[in-house]
Order: sequence, then structure tokens, then C-alpha cells
Amino acid sequence: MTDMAAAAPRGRLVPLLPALICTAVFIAALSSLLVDSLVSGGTWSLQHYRRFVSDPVYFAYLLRSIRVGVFTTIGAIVVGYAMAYWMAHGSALVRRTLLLLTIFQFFTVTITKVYAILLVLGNNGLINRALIALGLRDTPLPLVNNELGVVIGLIAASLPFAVLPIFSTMMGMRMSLIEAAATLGANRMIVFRRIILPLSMPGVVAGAVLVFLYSLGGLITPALIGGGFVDLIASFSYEQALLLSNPGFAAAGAVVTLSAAFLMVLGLELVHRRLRREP
Amino acid sequence: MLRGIGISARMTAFLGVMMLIVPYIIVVVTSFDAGSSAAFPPAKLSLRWYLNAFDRPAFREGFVLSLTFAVASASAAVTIGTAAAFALTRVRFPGRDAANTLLAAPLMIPQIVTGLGFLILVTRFKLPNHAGIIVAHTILAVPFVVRIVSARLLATSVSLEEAAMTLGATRLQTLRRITLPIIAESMVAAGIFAFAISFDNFYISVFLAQTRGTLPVEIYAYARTEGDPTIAAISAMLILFSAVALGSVSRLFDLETLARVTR
Repeated sequence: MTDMAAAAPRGRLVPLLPALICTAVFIAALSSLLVDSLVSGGTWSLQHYRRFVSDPVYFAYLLRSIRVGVFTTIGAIVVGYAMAYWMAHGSALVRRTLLLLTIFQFFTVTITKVYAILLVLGNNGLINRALIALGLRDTPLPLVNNELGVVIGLIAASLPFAVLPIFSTMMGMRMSLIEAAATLGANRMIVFRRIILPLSMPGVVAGAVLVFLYSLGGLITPALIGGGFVDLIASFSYEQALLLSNPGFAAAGAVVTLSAAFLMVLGLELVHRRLRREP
Repeated sequence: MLRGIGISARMTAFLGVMMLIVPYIIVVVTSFDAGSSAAFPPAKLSLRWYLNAFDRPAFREGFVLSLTFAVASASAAVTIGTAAAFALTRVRFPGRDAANTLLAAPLMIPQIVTGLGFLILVTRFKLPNHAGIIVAHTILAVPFVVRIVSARLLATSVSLEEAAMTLGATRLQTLRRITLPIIAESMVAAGIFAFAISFDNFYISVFLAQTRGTLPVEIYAYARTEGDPTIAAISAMLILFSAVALGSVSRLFDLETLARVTR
């Protein structure tokens, strides 16, 4: 490695070029989105931003997106943490089965998954049929066409993004640390609180960021499970750009939301760093 | 040692497993429902929704479009990503970490933003929309290919390649006879992964597709207006494809490594 690396002439980096061109095109796409958001009536202007922030109808998309995103993230992290823990500390069979099941989600078509979740949550769905058949309820529990349904749907859809990073950090932990603590008399709760939880925080933060960004970009879940009543920022951008032919305004909404998202992600990172410095 | 987990944690984990598996079981069962309201459990079974799915030009043509985009973008992504993985793991250069971060950028932006950005880019430069879809799908898949193939390259000692060159093989010979056979399986695994990413993609396609959308876009359009189990029938068939894809990948590539690199 060192020999080959020492002799690294520029020419050996040529294979990297196509991938970097891909990134450049990606950045070009994002830049043209930014430029379009700043142009109105043929000149540079903040008109789109002013309109988005000042009209409560549009601003509501942002607030709703962040609220749904936060609830989804909390739910997905709690459920995902328990799953990752089970995967990391369970038997080899449990680990392989859960791993297959989690990775399977990356190979499925998202829209079929959302449709399937709708079949579980809907008024005629599995849960409500069961509740009514068991006599626990007379009328269906409202699990669709509202924020609760959208959050449940987004949790189910984004769960793998929470499970995998947490699982990775747990697998990276040295088992000897846990064993040493147990040998020294720490019970399971203490081992979890003092060793496993702090050491898995990087995975939790990484997972939370992925789930949050995923839920902000959600369009299918709000449309199918929310029934159009819980439209998030993605629905706003979609409608403005495609149905109302107003890509500049759509772009402004996307930029505002993305900025808000990155501020929240940054805040999460800072809190995480602070916590790590003072254990 | 820790054996098992507490009861509330176990129930939470179980809930998660149910969230990942129950919808798929329900959708497969519903696909055989003879009724037209997609209620569970079905009162009577039939294959009529499968016939309806095959009967509709929207789904047939959408499927062909999706397949074309997936094959094209997966081929491109594997070529581009493998070359990049090679440079990133076998050549040490200043800015390597920066290059790694830069390549992962598309994964950090919500896809609705990426889709809108590509729509604006394609419209401004008057590019063909379908080419735009293939390019965008490729860009989304490249980071995954880089990570999967890099993991394989990092797990292989360079000494094999060095030995070949010491014995007089040229760079090209070494690449063809030593390196490529070592990473071939990971390239196929990465290709299947890239295929799945493109086939699943909704946000790029919905912005750039014209009169006929890709299969996910057509499914979305149908599911918004119709309540019958046709979508369940299509979903059941797609789930079968997904299972075959995952089965193949799990034979070609270590799942734990895949879990680590695809997050």
C-alpha cells in the first residue's frame, strides 16, 4: 500500500473523475434550484421567500413538516434502538433474520410499502377490523387521514434508517467492556445506562438525522395515508412546481425547509458533542 | 454477559419487526381478494386484480420504463462507482476524506429537493427528460456502489496485486486478472442495489417523467384515485422480485458489512 501510494501520480486519480462529475452535476441541480428561488419576474428578488414566510397557509407546511418530522424521528429511534439492541445482542439466528428483514426494506418499492401500511391502518384495515371483531370498538379508530397515521406510516417506512446506524455502532463496541462491567458487579440496567447507551449515541444521532431528513421529504405517505389532509413541504413543492408551474416558489419553500432541517441537525450535533465532553 | 433484554424493550423491538413484516403479509393476502374494496381479511379469493394489473397499459408501459431506467443507471453507477472505489482505496492522496464526503452528498439531501433541482436544471438547459432521469438515478446510486465495492477492496490485501506486479504483470493485467475477479461479486451486489434504488425511485421520476410515468409514479396515480386491490397485486409481484434480489445479494456480499455501508 505504502509503495503504491508513495508513487501516486495524478494519473492514478483519473478513475475518480466520473464520480466527481456526478457530484458536480448534483451540485449544479441544487444550485439551479437556489437560483430559481431567488429570481422572480426576470430579476433577482426575495419575493418567493417573502411570500412563503408571510402567508400562514404556506408557512403551515413548514411547521407541520417539522412537527411530523420530530415525532417520526422520536418514534423511529425508540423502536429502532430496541430492534438494533435485539439484533446486536440476540442469537446469530435472530441477528441474521432481523438483518435480512431490515435490509429487505431497501430492495422494496417504497410506494408499495406505503400502500401496504395503508391496508393495515385504514378504516377497513387489519387493526380496525380486529378491534371491531374483538368488540373493543364500535367505530373504526381514526388512524388514517390524520397526522397520527402519517407519523406511524413514516416511522414504519424510515425504521431501517434508524436501525442500521445504531446496530453498526453496537457491533463496533468492544464486548470486553460490557463483560468487565458485568464481572465487576454492574447489573443490566447500569451496563446499559453507563456503557451501551453512551457508546451508541453516534449511531442514534446518525439515525435521527437520516430519519428526520427522510420524513421531511415525504410525499407519498402524506398523500396516501394522510389522504391529502396532512400535506408536508414535499407536497407543497410538488404542487407548486408541477401543478401550478411555479418552480421558483416551490424552490423557495424547499430551501427554507432544508435550511430549517440543517439548523436542527446542527443543533442535534452540538448537543451530542456537548454530552460527549461531559459524560 | 447480557442475555436477552427487558420485557418493555423486547415488546418495542417486536413492534418494530411487526411494522416491517405485517404490511407485506397483508398486501399479499389482499392481492387475492375478489372484492373491490381492499378490506382485510378477504371474503372470497380470485386473481382478477392480477389480470387487471396486466391489462392496464399504464402499468405495462410504466414497468418497461422503470426497467429501462434501472438497467441503464445501474450499469452506469457500477462503472463510475467501481472506478471511484478503486481510486479511493488504492491510492492515497490529500483530500481523500473530503472526496469521500463529497461523493456521499446526494444521500444527505431529501429527494424531493433533488428531484425539483433536476427538473429546473433539465428545463433550463432543455435536456431530454429521460436522459435526466437516468443521470439523476445514477448519481443517487453511485455513493452506494462506492461504499459496497470499497468495503470489498479494503477487506482484500494489496499484497496480491503487488505480487502480480513484482512478477512482471502490467497494471492492466493485474487489474484484469487479480483485482476484478476479487471484486466481481461485490460489483454484482452493488449493481443489484443500484437497480433497486432506481426502480424504487419516485421523487426524481415524478418530476421528470412526461406523459407516461415510471411504475412507482403510475402506481401512485392509480392509488390516489382507485381503492381496489390492483395495487396490492402489483405490490405482491414486486415483493417477490425484491426477495429474489435480496437473496442474490446476501449470497454475494456479507450482510453485516452491507448494513454498515448502506445506512
